[in-house]
Amino acid sequence: MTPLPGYYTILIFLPLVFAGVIALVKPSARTDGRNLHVWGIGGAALLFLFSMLAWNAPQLPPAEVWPWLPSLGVHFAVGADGLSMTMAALTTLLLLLACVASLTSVHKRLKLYYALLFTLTTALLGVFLARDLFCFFLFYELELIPMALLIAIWGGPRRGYAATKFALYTLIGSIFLFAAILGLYVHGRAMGLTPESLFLFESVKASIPFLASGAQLLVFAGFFLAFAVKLPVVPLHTWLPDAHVEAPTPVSMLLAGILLKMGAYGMLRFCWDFLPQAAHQISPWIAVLAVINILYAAGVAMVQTDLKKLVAYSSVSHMGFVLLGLAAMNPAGFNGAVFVMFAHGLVSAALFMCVGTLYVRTHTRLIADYGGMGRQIPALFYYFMFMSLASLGLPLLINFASETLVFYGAFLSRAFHVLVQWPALPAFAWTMQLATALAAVGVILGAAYMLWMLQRVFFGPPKDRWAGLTDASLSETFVLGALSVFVLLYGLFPHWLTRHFEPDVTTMAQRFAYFPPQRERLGAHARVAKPGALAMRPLSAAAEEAPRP
Amino acid sequence: MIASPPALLTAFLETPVGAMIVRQNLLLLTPELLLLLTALILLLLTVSRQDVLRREIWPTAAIGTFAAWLSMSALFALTHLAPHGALLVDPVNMPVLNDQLRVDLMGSIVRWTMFLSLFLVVLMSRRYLERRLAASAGECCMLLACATVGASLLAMANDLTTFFVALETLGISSFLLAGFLRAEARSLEAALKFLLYGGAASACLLFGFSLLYGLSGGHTDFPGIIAAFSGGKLSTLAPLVVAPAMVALILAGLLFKLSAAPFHQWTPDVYEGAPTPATAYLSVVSKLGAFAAAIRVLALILAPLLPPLQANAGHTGPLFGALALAAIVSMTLGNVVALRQTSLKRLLAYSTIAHIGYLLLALALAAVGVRAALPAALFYLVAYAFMNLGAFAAAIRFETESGGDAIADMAGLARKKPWLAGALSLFLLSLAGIPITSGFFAKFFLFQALATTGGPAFWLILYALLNSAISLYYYLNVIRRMVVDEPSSVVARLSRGMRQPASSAAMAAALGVCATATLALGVWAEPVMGVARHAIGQLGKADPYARVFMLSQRP
Repeated sequence: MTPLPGYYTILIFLPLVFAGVIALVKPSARTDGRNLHVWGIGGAALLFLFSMLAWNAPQLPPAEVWPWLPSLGVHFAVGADGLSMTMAALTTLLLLLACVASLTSVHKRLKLYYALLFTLTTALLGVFLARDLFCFFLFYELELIPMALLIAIWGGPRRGYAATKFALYTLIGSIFLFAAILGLYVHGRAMGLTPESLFLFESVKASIPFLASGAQLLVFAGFFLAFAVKLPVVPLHTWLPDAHVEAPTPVSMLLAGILLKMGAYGMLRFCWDFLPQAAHQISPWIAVLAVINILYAAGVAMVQTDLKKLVAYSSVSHMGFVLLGLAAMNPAGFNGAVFVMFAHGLVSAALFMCVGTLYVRTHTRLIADYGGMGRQIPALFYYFMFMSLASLGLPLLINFASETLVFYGAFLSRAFHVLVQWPALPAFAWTMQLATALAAVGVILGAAYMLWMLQRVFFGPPKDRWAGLTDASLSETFVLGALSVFVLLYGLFPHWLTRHFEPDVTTMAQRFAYFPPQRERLGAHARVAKPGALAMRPLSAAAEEAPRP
Repeated sequence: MIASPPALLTAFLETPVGAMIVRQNLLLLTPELLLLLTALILLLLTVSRQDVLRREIWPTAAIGTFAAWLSMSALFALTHLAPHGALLVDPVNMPVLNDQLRVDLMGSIVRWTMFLSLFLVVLMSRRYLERRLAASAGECCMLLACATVGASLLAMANDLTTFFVALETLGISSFLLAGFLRAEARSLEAALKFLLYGGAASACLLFGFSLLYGLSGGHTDFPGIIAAFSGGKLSTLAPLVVAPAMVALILAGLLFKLSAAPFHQWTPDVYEGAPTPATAYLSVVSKLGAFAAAIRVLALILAPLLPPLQANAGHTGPLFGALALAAIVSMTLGNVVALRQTSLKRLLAYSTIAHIGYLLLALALAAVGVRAALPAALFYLVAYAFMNLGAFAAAIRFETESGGDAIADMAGLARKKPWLAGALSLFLLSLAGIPITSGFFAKFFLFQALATTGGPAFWLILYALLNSAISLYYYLNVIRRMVVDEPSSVVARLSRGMRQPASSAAMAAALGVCATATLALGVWAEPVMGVARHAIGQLGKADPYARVFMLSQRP
């Protein structure tokens, strides 16, 4: 069922229209310009409802493709599979909640604030819904300016430094992205593809098996480096604590909730789905990176004295699970990765909201300054604890469901078998299981730093200086309550969420043909993973096997 | 009795003057002739003692330049577009004035952009002229018109003599324009520096031309030179030193005009010292003319001539190497030095050097016979003209009111003047190559075209990409100042509201045209790119170019 003709185009550019409208709204002098909040929240709510049209439809609307630069083969192509739609829905949901959260935390230059926020949303939706490499790059670049400005204007004391660092890291990443796209384009031209099919996702994907494997590795590296900055992967993560800590609460919610997912989405879409052969070769090393991500970031989170930095590092740690799921290269791993993306989007946004609510009351983020807050602000304490428990993976909550899926996929993964083919290294047969075990240690570390933080902030004797604090306001209750409902619902009934992306993501994973169709003894891998076993099946066959329900 | 127009026209065309106009294709020079007429009227107005007449200087300049642009548009449509306007007619390579000039599509695109740029410069300089140059507004506008005539002839030149005369017309007018703020030492310094450097560069170019004249056996016309060199005659004619010296001297002259490294030193001082409208003009129109001339000289004369000069026939000949090196040095130097600038005009000067660096990559390939990147370069030039003019328009607007162009003084401009700050941000983002602006497509087309040529170009692209990332830093820095920071004392003093004396409808129109063009080219780039491809495709195709070029074109 098609909700509307041109649905995705409208969905992407609707926020831009809202940005223009808000730029023209006159701030009322009587309410000190706070009427702009109403416009912002109203626009975000409309956008959320509009995105729900396709989310709840039994079948996603077809992609929209218009020629844009015919001589180069560039199309304006937007559309969605389950993965894209999941991310788009997360974007509109978090935008709405971020707008509500702005009520208490953003007070100056509201017109510019909402205009930038909605422009950012257009870029984010464009990234998730693009079906053409050129469009993707365009939206990916477009996201940079509004985000940098949002941090630079409404951020904390070191906002200038944080915004510049964020912009520079993203820029360097996008150079690699551009180089990879250009490489694919040049390769397509060299193969004699018609310009009409050089940028569209399907045609690029179909052309890749003909690319020399060395070139595939280079293109993979280009894409991976670009998205590794965004995800972030550990040596490239240093922009994140600064940006998250300095950004105002709603922007932190969007940063952690959606911007990191751009990296994860890009990796799954381009590195693994487009370049399975290169992914197959590199995945073992990426699993190593994932474990480093999880353990290092969890360790660093443990020693943080700043509450917001702790949450920021926990984000880095959780992104390691996404990386591990991708490196597993099987349906469970991929679905787990996407599930973690969504779960982390909700939980980290909620945690940043919690930190923000504490900050507006106390104007400090140092853990040492708190203590015994549970008595003074019980409702906030409840939300904070609920979200912390969700973050550390308490069963029946959303993170438990998603991370379990990742561990399941990683444990059964044969990612390292590409190395096992080399007879001297049979020990690698168990490396992925070892990596899974180490990643599980990361969960324990997560529980440790979260519970320790809770204990230091909310338990213990109440401090006099926090005596007169007010508890959660209506808007805060709305944001945290809504997030809690989703965290609990999708934790109890994961299928309500996974049904949206599972068929498409599973199809992606099935391209890694060496994944054994049923469980077999782990020692039997050598038979399967012979050279040539990685024969690519045509996409159409995969699509026929896994039709959408 | 009044004869009917066609009869009158026929009668006129039968007179000696009419016959000459037909024979020499003089109608194609209508825009230039209109500009010269405007210049003459402006001179007369300037010397008049009556205020009534002196007040008409700016309107005259505006109407004259607009008429020139309008006639250029009409000529463009008539000569290069089919009656239905949809299809481009095949090679139109019309000789003008005994073949001293050739009107082809590339030249027409460049000229059209020049005339529009001139009109925009006149529009945006209204209040500036009133406030800063009240005594000499007439001469200033007159020189702008003369310089444009020179630049326009340069873009069409088909003969070494015409080429040099046109170049000097542009050059000498530019020197004078740079020194117009007579009370300011910086302006005089700029003019003197410009004159000395420019004189030396012209001398180099002239010496190179004289060697070319000798090597070709006494030809000054391009077709003659090309014919003389066809069939590898150069190897017998040219001693080992003379030909490389000739190429090096010509290159030095061209690179000076383009303000490319290592001949760029004059640029920042001239840009800073010259009156800002003159800077805007120099940064766009003179670059357009010089680039069109460089394409013609490199792609039509030197590229066919060079195979005997080059050791091997790859991209790696000495000329490619020299130009690629100049490109690398230009973009590195332009971008790195721009990082430290505190004045907007100096920043834009260094950014110009950097942009010329990107464009030189296309020229470097053209010099070895690979024209794939030239259409992209042409598109880049057109896009650059609008975004750079826009940025300068905003700078003029700010300077007229505040009296300076320090970036620190622009802090908080978005609070006071959101439209001005928004427009300047748009132009800076376009210069940086952020999507949905023409600058993004300009860079994209250029890098894409370079990538498809393969070879060493790919590494050059990576380097250029890195450079454009650096450039984003200093462009964003200005935006950060304007949007993020608290208002500076200068901005706090600016008056608020739509009706300021420093503003004018003309300035608003100029900013509007630049912003519209920057956005429109950022969305509908394809038609312009199509015309540019066509222009490069038919560059030098008509007889007698075609024969020579076909022989020497590489597979």
